[in-house]
Amino acid sequence: MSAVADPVEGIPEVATRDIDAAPGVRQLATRWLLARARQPGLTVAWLVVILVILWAVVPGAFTTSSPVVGNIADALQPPSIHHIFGTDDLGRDMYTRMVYGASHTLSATLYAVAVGFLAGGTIGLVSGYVGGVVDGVVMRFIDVLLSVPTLMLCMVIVAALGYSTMNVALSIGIVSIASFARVMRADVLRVVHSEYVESSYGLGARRLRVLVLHVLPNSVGAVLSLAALECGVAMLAVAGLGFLGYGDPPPTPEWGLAVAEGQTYLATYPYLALIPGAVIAVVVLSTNRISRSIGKGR
Amino acid sequence: MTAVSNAERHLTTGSPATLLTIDDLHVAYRLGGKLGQPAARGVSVQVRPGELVAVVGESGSGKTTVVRASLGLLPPNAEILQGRITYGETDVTKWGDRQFGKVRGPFVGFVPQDPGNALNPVKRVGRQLVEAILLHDRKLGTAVSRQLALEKFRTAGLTDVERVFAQFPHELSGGMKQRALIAIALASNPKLLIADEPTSSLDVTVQKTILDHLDRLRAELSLGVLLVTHDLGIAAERADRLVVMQAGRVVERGPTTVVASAPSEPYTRRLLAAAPSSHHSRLEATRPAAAGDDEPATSPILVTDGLVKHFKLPHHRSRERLTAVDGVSFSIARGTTHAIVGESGAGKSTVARIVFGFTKPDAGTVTFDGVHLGTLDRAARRESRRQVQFVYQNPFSSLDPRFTVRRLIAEPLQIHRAVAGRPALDQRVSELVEAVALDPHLLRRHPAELSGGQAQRVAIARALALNPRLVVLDEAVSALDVSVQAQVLQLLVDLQASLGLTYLFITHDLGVVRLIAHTVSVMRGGRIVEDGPVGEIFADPREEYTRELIAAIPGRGVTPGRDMTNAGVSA
Repeated sequence: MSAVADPVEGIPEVATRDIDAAPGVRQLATRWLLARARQPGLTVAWLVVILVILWAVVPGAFTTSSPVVGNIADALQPPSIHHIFGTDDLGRDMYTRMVYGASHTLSATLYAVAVGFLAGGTIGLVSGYVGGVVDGVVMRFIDVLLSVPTLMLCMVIVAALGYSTMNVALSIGIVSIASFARVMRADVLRVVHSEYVESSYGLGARRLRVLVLHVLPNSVGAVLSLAALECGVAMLAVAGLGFLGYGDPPPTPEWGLAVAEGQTYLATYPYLALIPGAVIAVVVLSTNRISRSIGKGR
Repeated sequence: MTAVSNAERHLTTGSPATLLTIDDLHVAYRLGGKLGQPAARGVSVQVRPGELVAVVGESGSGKTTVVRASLGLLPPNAEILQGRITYGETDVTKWGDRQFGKVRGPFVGFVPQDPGNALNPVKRVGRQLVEAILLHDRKLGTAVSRQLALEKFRTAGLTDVERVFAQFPHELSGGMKQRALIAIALASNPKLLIADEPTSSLDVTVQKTILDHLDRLRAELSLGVLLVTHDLGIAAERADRLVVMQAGRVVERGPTTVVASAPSEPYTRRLLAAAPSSHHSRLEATRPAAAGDDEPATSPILVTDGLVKHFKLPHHRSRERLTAVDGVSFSIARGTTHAIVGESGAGKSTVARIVFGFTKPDAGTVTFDGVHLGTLDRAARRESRRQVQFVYQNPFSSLDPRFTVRRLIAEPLQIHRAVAGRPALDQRVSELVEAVALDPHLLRRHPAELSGGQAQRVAIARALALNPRLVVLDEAVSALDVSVQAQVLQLLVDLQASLGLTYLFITHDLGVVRLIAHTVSVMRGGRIVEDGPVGEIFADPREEYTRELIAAIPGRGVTPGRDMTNAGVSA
């Protein structure tokens, strides 16, 4: 997992520290823009992510052509004014396919993170809160889950459930349960032994009340940061498994699949594989940058 | 550049007439790019060799800012607007970190506030001292520096120095850690020692030995000491000269004898009155007593009989068990305050936790209002929670940081569905806020946005919400400034009078006991060594240990001025 997070370090740290602004009263908007200008990397990351979300929600607003029906006469054209990302072997506009593919990749990513967050968070919460034997047993299972190579485990799960993008997402979610549970449990343990939790019991509060009102809000922070970071990891995994053919079959315009389809022409028309790859890379880097800024804010 | 390094050398070798001169210092902090209100406004302090100067003030009065400025340790967002800081004859106001680095150690040593946080937890204490010694004298060999370190430990008042040398910070008590820090501050034979609240987090008995020792060092090494404290009692007892600060300004200064016996400022008078030692009897309630309080005071509301509690030592090789509480019995009469006093590790907190029901005793019984608490089932226990409440030492760790004050005070009422409907809840919350004299505007704040005294008032309001009959206060005022402490104690006495409450008051400070308690048990090593009415214990202590505790009350030497008692804490 850390290998995936590493590229983030490659982004030049353009963001300068909030040292000082010239004294004086400024309009709020100006101040906001200034703050953005101090962190251009973060601003670009947000723009990329917002754009991709819009692609996923309203693809029709960004392109008029069809993602599945192409014009054979236009096959394998390099990027141009008419087709900014070029066309594939069936003459389909690659830009259109990327726009329509966003909803597949993005929804799968969100689904995967949601599964990991909810299941892992709940397991960690209960395990840390109950403690004792339950905690010991649950954590050994988590250890087992952590010790199996993630990609392999995903492939096994998808092979068992059937090939589809949603099953890919589910498998990625299941694999990420372990790290969510670990992080959640660590924070829960800290909070459970705090005086304010004890104080609440002292007032006569029941366990469920303490769990929901005191333990959960005070321990969920790190897991939320992890969820943000996991978005990039999950997106990469969705694309990776799509590339290997574990997702929905063609003609789905899913991004990973697009890279796989393009690799046939890697020697002659390299842009066919490189452009979807670049889109994936840029979006993953952007989500990582954003999640890092969220993590700092906490 | 050469001029400056000469100055540094001169400082560390020469013997100036004045060690530290702060002249008309103004410091402000930048918050979000804007310069805030100055934290120090025109502060001037002088320390000469062999002299102990105390800077006294409540939290937020700017004491720490002055200390940091004089050590060149101001955070980056602080700015010295005006004024000069001089070491000996050398102006160091504009010095950078490198230059300060050369004189911190050989010229000025620093003893930080919290010994628990100031040592590196993963390094042996001796190693840390050797590092400090080698920092300014790199040529020393291993054996020599080790011998020197052992000697420094001895100078700082540690016995068994060989053992301390090889120990990790967590293996030392708070007092020993503070002595180790003093040894580190003395590592390079400084001429000036700056101590920022060096004993605030320590037991009074330990506090006394540390301060005694600082006194001795000052005489032996003719060390100049700048002592920063919130306790005017301590300062008046120890210092040659006092500087009293309020809201960034020096409001009063002068020789201790003059300032302490005839304070000219109302603020100084208030600080003096706040010192527990300035009172010789229980605080008077400023509110009318509850009506119908005719029950005979002889019927005890709480009786404990032969409480015993062992703890397993998890990392101990032997099967040894620690006996924290060993046969503790006492009783509290309705509407009175019983104090349990003793040093850390005496088992007083364990007793409090057993009475409250957090901890089960291995033997012995707790009887509350005629009912054995040990025999109750879960539901009955929950119900009994309404009758007994608990207040912790540190409100910031015992209040959920994500709750607002309103939610915190409303929580017990919601748990027990004590009131029906939102209007009734709001009504009760504002009653409680009024009862603990808290500003209603604070209801929407979070604990982190409150002062220590305000936060402790919230904790007390929470404890009172369900109309309990017994409140267990575990060092509830120990973490507060003395002036705030006095206010909270007054509040507790007032609440007791108006609500007929009974208190079990746990503390390490006998001075506080006199202000609030009717009866007292002195605990040591898990046993009660002496108990009885407060007046008797103070007038005629039978045990040597009790006498030691009484002797350790800070500021006993201070004789309050004529109208001291009238100055009062409510002033």
